Amino acid sequence: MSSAVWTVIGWLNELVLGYFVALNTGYLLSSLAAFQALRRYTRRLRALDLSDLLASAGMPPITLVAPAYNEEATCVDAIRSLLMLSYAEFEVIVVNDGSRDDTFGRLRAAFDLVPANRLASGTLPTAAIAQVYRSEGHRNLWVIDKANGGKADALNAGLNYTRTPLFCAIDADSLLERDALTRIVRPFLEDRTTVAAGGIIRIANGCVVQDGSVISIGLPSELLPRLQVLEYLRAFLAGRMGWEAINSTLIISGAFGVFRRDVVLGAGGYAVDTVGEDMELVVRLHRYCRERKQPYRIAFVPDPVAWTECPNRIAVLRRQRDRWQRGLIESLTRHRVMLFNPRYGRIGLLAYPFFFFLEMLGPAIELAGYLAFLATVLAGRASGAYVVGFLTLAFVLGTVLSIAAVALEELSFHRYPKTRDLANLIWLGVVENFGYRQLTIMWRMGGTLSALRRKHGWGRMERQGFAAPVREVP
Amino acid sequence: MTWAALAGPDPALRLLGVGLLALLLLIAVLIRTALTYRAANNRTRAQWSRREAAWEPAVLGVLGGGMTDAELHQLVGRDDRLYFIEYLLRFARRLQGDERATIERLAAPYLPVIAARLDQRDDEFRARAINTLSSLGLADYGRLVVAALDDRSDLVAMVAARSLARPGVPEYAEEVLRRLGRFQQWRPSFLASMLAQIGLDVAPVLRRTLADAAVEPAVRTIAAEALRELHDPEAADPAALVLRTSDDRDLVAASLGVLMEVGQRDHLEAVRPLIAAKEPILRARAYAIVARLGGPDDVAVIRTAFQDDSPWVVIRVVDTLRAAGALDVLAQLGEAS
Repeated sequence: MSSAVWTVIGWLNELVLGYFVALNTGYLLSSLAAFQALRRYTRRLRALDLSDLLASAGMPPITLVAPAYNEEATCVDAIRSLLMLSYAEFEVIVVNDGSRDDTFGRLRAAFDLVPANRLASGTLPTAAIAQVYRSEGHRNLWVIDKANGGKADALNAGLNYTRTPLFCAIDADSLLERDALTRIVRPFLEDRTTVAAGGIIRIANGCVVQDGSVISIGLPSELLPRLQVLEYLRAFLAGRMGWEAINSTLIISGAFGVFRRDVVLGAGGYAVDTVGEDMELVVRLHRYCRERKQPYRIAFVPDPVAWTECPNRIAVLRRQRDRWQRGLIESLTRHRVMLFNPRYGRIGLLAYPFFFFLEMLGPAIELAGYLAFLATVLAGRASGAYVVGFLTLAFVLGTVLSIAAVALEELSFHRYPKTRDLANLIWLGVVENFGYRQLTIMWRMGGTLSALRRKHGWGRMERQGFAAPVREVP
Repeated sequence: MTWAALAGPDPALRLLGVGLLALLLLIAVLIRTALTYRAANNRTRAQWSRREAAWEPAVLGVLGGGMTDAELHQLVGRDDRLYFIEYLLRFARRLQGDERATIERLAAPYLPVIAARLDQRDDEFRARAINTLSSLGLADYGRLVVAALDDRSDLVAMVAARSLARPGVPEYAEEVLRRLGRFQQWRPSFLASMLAQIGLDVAPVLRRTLADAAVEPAVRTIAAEALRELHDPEAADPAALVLRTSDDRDLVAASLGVLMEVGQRDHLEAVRPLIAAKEPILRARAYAIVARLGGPDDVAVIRTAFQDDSPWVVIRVVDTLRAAGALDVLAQLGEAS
């Protein structure tokens, strides 16, 4: 090979080394910040006396907007769990986004839906609304039956019919814990500039679900969902909590987030031309508020929980990660004006560049790095000690980050009561380095290529339904 | 060969080796931390179960008259004092009247330990101490709780304000109202509910605050919201006065809210000009009041609501007429529009 090629490979190796150092330093700092923030947060919760807050009459009314597309397996249980929420005043609007399965039929039978009049208060453009229904049995449950337009379109339709100052966007297949709304609404009480708050998403596979509530928490028996449990702990407790500690939350999961209706409408609602409408909205809200010099806060709250079923098949997981990566790329490239732009404060100078260079470009850099590294090793140009040392370092760092997330879980919420589950989580921190991490990089790379090809669409998510728990109710 | 190289003369490799060792050590520390937390959590749970098993029958004994305070106090070890207070705090929340007073009496000997925690640097510790003192010993520690309204931490001050705004205890209301300005970050409706839960005894103070033009509009807005929640009939006059004298949007909207609840026909004169207000929220509320309080002559005015640019105005008028049972008017307007 020519010396020019080796020069490029040398640069690639250095680029990957720099990427590796920056990414892991970022993750380590984030875990450290999360540690402090969680410790403080749990003490604050005790001081604030949540049970007293629950009884408070001053809680703002909330509308839960749940878009549903082909969710016949889980929608009835999920909506039932929403109706059982412990919160003073709330409405539920389920938006059936032109499902091709029996989602609407199941909802109508389960909740005794009848056609009803409800005036839209918003004017966001959406696909045609066929009919609005109201439940005879639950007067706070409404179902909007509309033509298919995608998740963002369904959310916009729900938003148009929302009348409360706050709305909560949730997935129709998620189960909210009974006090989740009370907990997530706290930032809106404590700081009137709060425009959005996100809760934590936990994996329901392996848990026992009864009547729409998780009654027993455990790890799933299959390896793939187990690995995702650890991944979610790392993403939420170490990642998002770390960003929250420096007031730079850039992602609120579409599965569970509360927003101020007027600000979201002012910013134009959900973008219908991206598969990452949840992240795009949050990035846009930052931009919207900063450009108007409007004081605002976007918060992550670690204790309100939405339980969700995660993929247990490789093909489905691959499609999910592909979609997430496309969403990330679409959100970040659309608002690239924020990159290193001091006008957007620490979001533009810190959070956005981190996500842009390390999360968005990460898979491409990492893959190129693997290839360059392989070429260097095969050509005998790398010292064996460096190769082994570097690979071991990568492996050990990955393990550190995962076990730190497990420690954060034990410090704060310790939701997995069995010591065996704790040991398993620690062990998974080691296991995931052999194959799973590399697979996710490849899937994300696939997502990057899909985004470059401007591929749209959801990919198909298969659900087993919460009525089929892994274990029987004892 | 390669492992030995990490300890060899190459400085980069040695650095790598040191980094690896440090990370391995960190893994060990993190695993130990996770296990320690787990053990501590399990131990705390077990200790709580043991303590509660010992204390619950004794506390019930004291409440039932079968046991003396001294006998119960003998069951509380020196190291258990804070736990006992926390236990009583949880117990007290379920009780009222004489039984609650008994719990407060049982807690009294231990509260100085809690009061001493008000000197701690940590905001959360002080906030929790205020919560405990106000719940179990407001009569003796009220002065400390009032002083906490001026604490350097907003969290501590808010916990104090919420503790002092308790049902049937209006004597601290003025102290809380005077400091409402520092809670401007908090949601006004939350603060209003906090004040309203005191009960109608607090209404005179709130009316004075609403009528006082020297008070900050934000505080007057909260007072108006609280009066609306209390359905205080005497709040209508100061609310109508606000409509004539203030142009603060939130304050005027909150005053319209008061008139929605307790306004009379006499107040319509102050409300009607706001039908032409620029802000949709003011127009919606003004129309709704006219729809609720107005007579047959007002149907023509209400009809104009259906041509309003804001859907909120129509929604509000329809909801008001529906709630008032004026379905004939609604049908008439529906046909006309």
